[in-house]
Amino acid sequence: MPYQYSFIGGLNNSYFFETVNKIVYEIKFKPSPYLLAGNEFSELIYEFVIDVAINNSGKNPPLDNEVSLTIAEIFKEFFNAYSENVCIYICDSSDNRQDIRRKKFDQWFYKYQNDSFIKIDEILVDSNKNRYPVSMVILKRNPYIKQIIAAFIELSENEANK
Amino acid sequence: METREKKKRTTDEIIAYLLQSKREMQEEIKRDANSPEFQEALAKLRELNNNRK
Repeated sequence: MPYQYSFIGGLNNSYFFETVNKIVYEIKFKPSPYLLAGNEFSELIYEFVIDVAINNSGKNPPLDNEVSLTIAEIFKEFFNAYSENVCIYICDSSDNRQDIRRKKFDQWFYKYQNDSFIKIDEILVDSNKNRYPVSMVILKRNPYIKQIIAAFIELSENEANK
Repeated sequence: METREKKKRTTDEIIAYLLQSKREMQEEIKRDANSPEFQEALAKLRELNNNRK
């Protein structure tokens, strides 16, 4: 059973919930038209971030399956409210754990999605050849799905892989 | 060559934007937790949770 969560809104569409261990997580969906700047669908793009807001335990949060379930519920609520929206998630690579994060995100997505969503994975490569996994999640019924997927894939295109 | 550099720079810019944006949101989450509005919303959520028990 998911935790009770609350929508506090704001510019970045914030949600939060508290676990049985008194860990508070916050999730944000930040509007990011920059990513597809100049594209007619740019206003539908949101970056997705989740982080611990409060943890007074002094330890890393324990494994809690209800957390993943609650995040999935929040995700669905966000898309149900705005079915044309699109979420982008980038895996931080500052500690070289980007592939582990991508794997965890994949596991979460395929465990909790209800076949209403599609996830597209891409790798952005910078000029130093560093790899940054990026995923896009979109509802299958999004009327602009083909155009948005094409624009997202174009993001990762560069001279090196043509 | 000029086009290639331009395209490459754009990819770098996109990555930099995404990482910077993510960091900013993570910092915002830490700040949110200390705001009176957040504490008030958290108190309401705890009340809801208690009523569900």
